Amino acid sequence: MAKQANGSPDSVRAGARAASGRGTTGASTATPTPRARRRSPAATSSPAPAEPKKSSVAIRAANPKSPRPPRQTKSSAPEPETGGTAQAGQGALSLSEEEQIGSAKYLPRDLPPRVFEEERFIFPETYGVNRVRLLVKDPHWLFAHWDVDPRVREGLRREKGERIAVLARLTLRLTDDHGGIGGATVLPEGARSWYLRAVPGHRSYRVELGITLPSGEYRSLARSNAVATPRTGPSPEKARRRASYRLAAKGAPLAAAADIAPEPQAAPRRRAAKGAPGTAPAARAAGTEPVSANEPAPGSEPGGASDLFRR
Amino acid sequence: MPQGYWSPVLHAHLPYVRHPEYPEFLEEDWFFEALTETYVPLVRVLDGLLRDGVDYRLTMTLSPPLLAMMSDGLLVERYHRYLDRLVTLAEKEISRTAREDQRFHDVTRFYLGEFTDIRRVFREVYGSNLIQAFRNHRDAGKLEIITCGATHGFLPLMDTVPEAVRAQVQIAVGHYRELLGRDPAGIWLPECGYLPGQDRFLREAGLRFSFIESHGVTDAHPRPSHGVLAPIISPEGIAFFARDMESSRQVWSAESGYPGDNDYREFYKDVGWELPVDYLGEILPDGMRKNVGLKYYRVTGKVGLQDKQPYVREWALGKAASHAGNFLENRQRQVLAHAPRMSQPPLVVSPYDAELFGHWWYEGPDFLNFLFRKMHFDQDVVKPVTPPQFLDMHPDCEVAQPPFCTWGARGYAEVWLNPGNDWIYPHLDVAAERMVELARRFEWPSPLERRALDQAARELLLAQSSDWAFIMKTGTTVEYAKKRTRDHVARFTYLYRALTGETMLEEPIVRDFEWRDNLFPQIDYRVYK
Repeated sequence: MAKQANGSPDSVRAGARAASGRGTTGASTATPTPRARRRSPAATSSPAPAEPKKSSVAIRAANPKSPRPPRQTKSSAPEPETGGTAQAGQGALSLSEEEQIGSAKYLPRDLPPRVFEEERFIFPETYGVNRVRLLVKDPHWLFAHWDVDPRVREGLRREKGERIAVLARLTLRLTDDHGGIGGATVLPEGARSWYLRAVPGHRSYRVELGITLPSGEYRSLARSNAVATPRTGPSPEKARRRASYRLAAKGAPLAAAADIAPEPQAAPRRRAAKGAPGTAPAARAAGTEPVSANEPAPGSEPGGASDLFRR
Repeated sequence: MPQGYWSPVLHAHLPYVRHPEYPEFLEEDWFFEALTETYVPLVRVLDGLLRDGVDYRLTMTLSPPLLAMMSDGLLVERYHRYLDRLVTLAEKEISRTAREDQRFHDVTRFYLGEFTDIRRVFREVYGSNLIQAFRNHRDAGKLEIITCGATHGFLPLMDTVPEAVRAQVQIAVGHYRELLGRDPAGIWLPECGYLPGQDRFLREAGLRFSFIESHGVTDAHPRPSHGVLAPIISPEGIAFFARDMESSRQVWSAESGYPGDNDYREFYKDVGWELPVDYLGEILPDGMRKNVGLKYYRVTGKVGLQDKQPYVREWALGKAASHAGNFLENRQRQVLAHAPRMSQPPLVVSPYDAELFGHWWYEGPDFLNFLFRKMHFDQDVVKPVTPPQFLDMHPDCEVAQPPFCTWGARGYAEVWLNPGNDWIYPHLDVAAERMVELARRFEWPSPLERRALDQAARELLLAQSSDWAFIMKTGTTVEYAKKRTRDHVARFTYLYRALTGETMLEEPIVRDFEWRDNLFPQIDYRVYK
């Protein structure tokens, strides 16, 4: 081991002792001194002064570019994002410390723009079918994405005229499994996805995609899959059943599972009165259920990329 | 008899990055850097533990893309070139620093020895087959190797197409069997992402245990008695182990975690960004700057990069030993505090990204080395264990259903679903539905159709890798992540249109896709039925 002019002899000895692979208890109980936070260049106090060039290959001043965002401490208590229903999640996106460190395995430094091979196959911007799907982002937010058959607007144009077809707006209606209504969202032109606020608590939802005409008439286009938001916090019910892992390993579901009652969902919340704007029928069946805009009968027109086959 | 147990878990995963269409490709360095700084050093540590009779126990994910890259001829060949260049540069640096900059002479000598030894272990000891090294430790009963999603697809957001979730699990298990010679017992759920009911897919694949974030157990229904210190069994019979936050923070925390110590190597100061491009030569393809793996400074303290001080290997090793002792002491205290109140010994489960050890925290493998040795030789309070070994000793578990949970920020899906990356989900969703449709439609495909169907499955799987959404969120190499998503979706869409008669199915195109995206050569598209 090379000696260092400014090195601490104790540290060097500790390293040598530890390197033997037989660290002593005395050494192991040493509490580390308070550690400086590992700093990214962005966190440094001032830009690097230009160093005199000592040789043709001397190490030069640090690249002042920031390789990563400032760290934030992971919050164990989920907080709903602010900003309303529209495009929630655009603000205050944070990463846990693990994620910030984990991102280091993918080139942490800023790179100049790259020129990749030209794309030879067409990336589909739309799939031309009526479909809507719902995902759970967290206990407070859902994410809906959809696609619409261009024939919907064409049909409206033929039936109601150009003005109505242009003014008609896609609409999302959120329902929960108790028939409660999460409200209707009239979507801006060109939107392909939307974040919807969920009521806190364990609860199931579906969303229906439809089109609202200037007259207020609403026509359903497709219905989503059902999703359930998670309860946050410990369950009020204490675990009572135990099972043997050896039995569980036999490859069949546990008999004890039958003793777990399904987790009760949050109490129904009916925000909209019957017949009020935004009211929608409760979900009819499991799975997605596309509906034609021009022929309101459910299931009369195939929707979803492969719903015909899935059914 | 120990008072409690500690179960370390290293999740080793990288997305499948392999570009035969380019002579060199920057993102392939992710794999080469991880081999040089994490995987080979870890193997070296484990070999030493085994040789010295240390009864270590470790659980490691070797994700299917990582296993595939480790066994890929092109990438192995390119890794040899990468190592040779590193050794050459280290040799040049020894001469340069002796002549011009004595401050760094010792550290350049250290690097030359290190790179030479990494090359020796990789080439000569394991014949360029690192999988064999991990197999040896598994067969010795010390290492539990678990699988992961086939391409690290984030399963909770895939739930609209259950067949896609099933395929991620089934393909991973088959691939493990192919490369590791037996079935895996456990799985690391990508991003620790779990949705109630997805335990069914694990059971169907013969898997028996997995890991979840802390609130996956503390918020399970009904409420488990021992929090994160005991596994639970899900209704489908899968044992779930929860992450212990206390031991995680000691390593992960930027404020108080070990890797931020002043004596450890500074990650961000790399000669690839500092020495002249023409001097660095061929290690920078096309003269584009990048990390090359020679880093001469230590963390030093709260100072700017220009004020960092030279790295002293001996000091860093001393700190790694000291921190290992501190970690062990904390586990002892933790176990002793909880044991009297529990009906079985407490189990502390500490999962980490494997690449944290070595790539990010350069001394991480040394820390593990010291820790296992101290745990073995110096005390009997807490002992390392793998999940199956713990369950063999304590098979009775409480039955509860974990809720939706991940190990991402705030514990749910916002890292993989936010306005920066949510555009991918309509495409992934449609592609998955279309894949199911193809699998049901083609009972007796022609040979060319069969190749196209298998390739469609590969393209879908590659597009589903959660790494792309993660990178789009973290903003590291967003262009590349977008390109990968778009490329795989576009290739899938061509194959779907060709197989459904919307366009011509051309053999040269299928062959080209097979050449580019050669993951899972044995794949059978019928897994999507």
